[in-house]
Amino acid sequence: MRIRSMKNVLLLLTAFIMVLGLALTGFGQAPQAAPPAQGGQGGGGRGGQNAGGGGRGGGRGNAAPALPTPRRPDGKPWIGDVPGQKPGRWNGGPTTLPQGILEKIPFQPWARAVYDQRQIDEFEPHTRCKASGVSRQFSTPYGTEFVDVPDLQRIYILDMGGPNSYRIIYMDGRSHPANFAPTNYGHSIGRWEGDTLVVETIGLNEKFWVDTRGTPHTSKLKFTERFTRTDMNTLQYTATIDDPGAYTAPWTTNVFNMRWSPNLDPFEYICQDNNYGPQLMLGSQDEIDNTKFFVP
Amino acid sequence: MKFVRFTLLVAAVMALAVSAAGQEGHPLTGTWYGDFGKTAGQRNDLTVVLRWDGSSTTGIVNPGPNSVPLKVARLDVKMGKPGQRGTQAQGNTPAVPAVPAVPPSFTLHFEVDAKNKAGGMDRFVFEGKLENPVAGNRTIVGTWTCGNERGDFRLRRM
Repeated sequence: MRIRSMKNVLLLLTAFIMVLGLALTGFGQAPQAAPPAQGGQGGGGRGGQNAGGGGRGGGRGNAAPALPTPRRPDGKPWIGDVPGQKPGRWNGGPTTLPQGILEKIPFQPWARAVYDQRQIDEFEPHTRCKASGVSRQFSTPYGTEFVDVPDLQRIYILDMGGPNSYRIIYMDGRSHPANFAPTNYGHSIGRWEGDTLVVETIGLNEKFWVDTRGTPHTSKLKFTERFTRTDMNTLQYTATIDDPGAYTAPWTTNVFNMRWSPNLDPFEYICQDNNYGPQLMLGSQDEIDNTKFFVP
Repeated sequence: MKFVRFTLLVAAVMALAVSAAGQEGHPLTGTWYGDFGKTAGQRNDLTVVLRWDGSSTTGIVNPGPNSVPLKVARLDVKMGKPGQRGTQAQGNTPAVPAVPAVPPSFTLHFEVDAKNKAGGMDRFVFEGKLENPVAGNRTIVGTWTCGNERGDFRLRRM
């Protein structure tokens, strides 16, 4: 009798462990659905096929009326979130920096050939969850949040839809460090020129693309961005690419207009967790380049 | 202790490999490993480290105390032609067939001097084509000559 009840206890215990194990596995593999009504494009970055200047406005839905540019107490624009209001995000960043000016870009021959090859292969590192700096931050699926903290003299750029990473723009007048080891986001310093925020970034490594179409760069790149919030809902953006490793002269993009998507609380998005990006981002390709040594 | 050392070594090699695999800049930059020889059965190890400084390619063969700098190294690029996505017929507008892109081609040429048995120097000339030129597992496959001798080589970027 005692042996029988021991067996029952063991059976119950085994069943309990199995159920617990299944439940835990289920937690780990829960699909990473996008939160409802996020206002983003949900896809992920392909696009930019249309010639001509100006980016595609994103942020469908929840369009706010075009109020004037919100301003800080010191008169400078709030470049992103406005204190006292619910946070929002910028959508519709540039997917292809050469949009409308491809034939005018002073590519070095190898860089133009690499650009052309990437239009065929489309093996963008971002689709494998690689943190991708500078302008690539603005074409993530769910928009980009700017958090300006004047007291700290820093602006944080949080790109939703990537590997949960961020960039810091130092606004305290510092210079770039002399020997900065190249990273995915580099070292960004910013200043105001009137109502335009000018951000200069150096120290970028060669592990990512600066846009979804594969505009090449090397670690010699100095990337200068100009952000102008012309009203509550519009952020004008241009970038100047100064990279003697890949181009014969500096060049500047057309103006792209990002659109404000209001009332969007941040949410946690971990690209590496159930990454559906390859299916969403690779256009006509059926699969990503699994022949690489390491595909995280 | 041996096991710990071995584990650390494996971890270090993997970390290096991961960091190298992420190289998306100039297609030659990095360390290339493979072999060369006159026949399929007669092979010699070959390691080439290549760098792009913005205007020219430099490099060494067999990194280490006996490394040899490349005398000549260059990437020759032949441009392709962009493709065009097709469209389906709509009303009176006829369908436009897709035009496949012609990919560009990348050819590496490098020369290196090596000591021969008589104490003199021989010049080896290598010329190869980059395959998968913008993928992480890109390779260079081609031929080499040295005087009257010739053979093939194959390099894979680490």
